[in-house]
Amino acid sequence: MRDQRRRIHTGVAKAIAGQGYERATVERIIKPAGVSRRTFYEIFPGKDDAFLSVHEETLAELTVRVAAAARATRPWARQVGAAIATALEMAATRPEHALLLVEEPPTGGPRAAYMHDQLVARFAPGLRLGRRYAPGPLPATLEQALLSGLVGVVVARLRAGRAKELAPLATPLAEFVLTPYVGAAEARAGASDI
Amino acid sequence: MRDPEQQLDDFVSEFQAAFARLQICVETACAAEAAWPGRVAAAIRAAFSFAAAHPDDADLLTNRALAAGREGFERYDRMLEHFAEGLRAGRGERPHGRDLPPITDRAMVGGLASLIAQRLGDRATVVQLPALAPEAIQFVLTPYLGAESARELAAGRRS
Repeated sequence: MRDQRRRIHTGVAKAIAGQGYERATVERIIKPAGVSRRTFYEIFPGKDDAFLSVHEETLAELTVRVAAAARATRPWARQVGAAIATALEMAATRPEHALLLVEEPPTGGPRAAYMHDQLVARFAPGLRLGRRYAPGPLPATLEQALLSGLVGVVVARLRAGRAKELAPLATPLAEFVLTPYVGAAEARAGASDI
Repeated sequence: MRDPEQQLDDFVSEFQAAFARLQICVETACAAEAAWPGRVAAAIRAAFSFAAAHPDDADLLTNRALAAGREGFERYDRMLEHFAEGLRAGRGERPHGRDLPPITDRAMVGGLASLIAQRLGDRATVVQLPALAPEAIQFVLTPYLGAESARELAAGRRS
């Protein structure tokens, strides 16, 4: 059952990455998963539940990995760099799962609002710690804009089937994220440590 | 119920029309500004005002495009790339612009699109969009101009 659940998770991720949430039917999920329709419905009541299950699991795994990478180093700028490098590595290894994190949810409401709630709420607090290094007041929406900008760059590569390009992006993306907090020169120096 | 192909055709037509309306709005605002920082600031103010005045268009260009699978994302991405090109144009004339990572311009525009998209679901937050423009201007200009100049421009203390 556990293996079938994992296979369905993979099928959900593949179907959504290829077709988008709306067009990813149960039929299109079970084919790459290699399970029967009956098995699918034995495990999940429907597509929405399967989506939420894999979404939650992927986001939890990303959060754990990023937190572990950040905990392993100091100071803050390096923690940000390590977190970004880890997230990119996970996205490059499992592009379909990474794309699923930014897909439209079955719960209604604007997709970006959901992405904001889920991703920004998890990772913004760590970024916000950098405000103490800023020379002056920063926009209240800075963390959302930075994280969304970063996610957009990653998704564009994933959608284009260019997951291999993600790892080398760790340094420039860290520089992009650090610049508003510590200035361009220090951000460049901090990001070059990755 | 429309078939998926027809839905896609309709989406593409609607997206192109909405994007054209946004482009006209942004380019008209930029035309009044001579210097690159002023043009960027005008473009951002215009885009945020456009979203507040035409939330259905803005929703189509962001949330609905992203929910429309590969086709929708490709159009969304091309739209962001169009506006990122306008930022890239300023690199050569700004003190910090030349050394910025290549992804900066695209990431900045993506961040702005998300700030707008995230507020489109609720009328109360839609009407607040124009008031967010100064923050967005500061966010975008900081890497190119440095924190102090970006803050001054965002506050309208210089052009």
